[in-house]
Amino acid sequence: MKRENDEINRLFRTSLSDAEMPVRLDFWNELEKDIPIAIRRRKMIVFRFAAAASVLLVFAGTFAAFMNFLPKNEIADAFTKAAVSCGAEGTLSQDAVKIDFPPIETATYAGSLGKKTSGNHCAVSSAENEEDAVSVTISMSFSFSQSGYTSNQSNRNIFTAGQNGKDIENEETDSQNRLLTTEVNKSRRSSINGFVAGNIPFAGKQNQSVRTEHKLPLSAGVTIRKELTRRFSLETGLVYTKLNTELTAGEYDADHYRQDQTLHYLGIPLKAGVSVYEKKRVELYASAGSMIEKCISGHIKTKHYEQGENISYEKSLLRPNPLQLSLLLSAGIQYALTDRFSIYAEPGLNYYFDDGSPVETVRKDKPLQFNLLCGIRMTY
Amino acid sequence: MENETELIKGCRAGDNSARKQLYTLYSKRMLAVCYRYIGDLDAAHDVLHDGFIKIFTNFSFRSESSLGTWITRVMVTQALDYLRKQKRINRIIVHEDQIPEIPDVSDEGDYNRIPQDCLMEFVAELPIGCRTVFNLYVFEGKSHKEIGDLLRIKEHSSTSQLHRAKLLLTKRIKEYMNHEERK
Repeated sequence: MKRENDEINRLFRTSLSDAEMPVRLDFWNELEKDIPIAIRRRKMIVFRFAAAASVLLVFAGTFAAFMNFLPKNEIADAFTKAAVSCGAEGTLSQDAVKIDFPPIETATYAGSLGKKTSGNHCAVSSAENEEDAVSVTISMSFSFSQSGYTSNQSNRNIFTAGQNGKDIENEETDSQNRLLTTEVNKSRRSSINGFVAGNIPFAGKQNQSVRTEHKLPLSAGVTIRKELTRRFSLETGLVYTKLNTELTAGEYDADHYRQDQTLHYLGIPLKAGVSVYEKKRVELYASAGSMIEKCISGHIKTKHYEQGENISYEKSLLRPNPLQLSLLLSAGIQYALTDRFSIYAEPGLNYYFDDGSPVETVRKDKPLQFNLLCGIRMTY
Repeated sequence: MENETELIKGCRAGDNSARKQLYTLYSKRMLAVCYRYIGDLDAAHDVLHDGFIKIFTNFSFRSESSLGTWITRVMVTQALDYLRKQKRINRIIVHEDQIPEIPDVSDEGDYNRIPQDCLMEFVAELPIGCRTVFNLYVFEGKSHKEIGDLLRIKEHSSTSQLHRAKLLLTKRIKEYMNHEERK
């Protein structure tokens, strides 16, 4: 039986291996016309990808150069300053600090400093409710590195320590944040997006005395976008954000405290999108939505320095309980490179509601933030 | 062959007359290949067109095999892509216990005399799943494991698809021979 089976194979193989069939008469003419079109299309695709990559590289390079050469202190000085007098006295005991301050109305988070500091504030004499100048730097980058900027104000103290009659400058600097996003969006019907982001805060209320340095908030997330109709879509997913703040009170060459606070948030966004204009390769759209976040973990490290020397160190867990709610509004422009790949940019605004916790974050200081999102979309 | 080297050079350079020459040399044979896989003449022409476009826009021939083998491989790949888009080949399931033994054809007369175009039609008439496996096994010399990887089916399914193809082809041959005898 096997021989007969192989016979069938042999029969067809020998007979049909070199078989020929007549081709349609006009076939070559059509093919000849289509070849240059196909070559041109292929070159355009390569060109568009190269152009997109170059644009992104230029932005990344510009941003990196800007961050590298930025005279942060000078820029900080150029903005509004308000001298705040903070009458405080502190006594140092063995491993804790007891600080007495004149009472203040604003809430404070008590750090773990010997568990003795609480409700300590500086009286704000003239700087209260002063709004900072708005400074926005727009840059786009796909860099994953964190770059610090000083947004010197703190209206709630995590801790305070100081000397009598010390003037602490209240400074404002611009912040160079940028929103980094890489978004992979699959399908007109549904899409999966991955992104990394950072925000540029707008003016926030200033109060006082301690130098606060909010580091660039970094976010990363995965979202799913579903097109409900040709124009309307919904998007949700999971977003992780890391907030980092450094606070310093006192002079570097004298007694001072430094606290390093890191918070990790996990959030669920919900966005609705509307396509506004669509022609050929370009699409304009608008989105609005909100996000609920919960701090899942965090810690605060406190170092006490005396005469420039570190004399104590403490680390404790920190996890503000309340949920963080935010609203977002953005406009988007998308350019299709091929049938599958598009690049897009989404400038937008985020507003972070006060979560009611006493913990100091960039969102409390500057609830209104501008972000600029750049991404690559893949459709199927 | 010197001519072939010149031809390859010309196609790489985008010379239109070289392209036409290549087309003239291979189009009929490649149409037969496409038809064997696709089973429909119009669709086979579409696949042939796309195959040549692919060849001429990116002439990536590297002399690892003969020119004919390379062109055939491009066409087969194009045909498989087409089939994948049309139907899910790996959805076709054959229950092995339903396939009878392949009957003996040797006593049916000289089946070697069956014309080529009839044999081509017998293959084209096969259901898509076993036709694809049959083509890959018999003409491309692929193993069942390789076919399984290529079509994303189990090796076992490839074996049963080939068995089914042979059964159907044998049946067709017998019918044809009986019909011819009656004449």
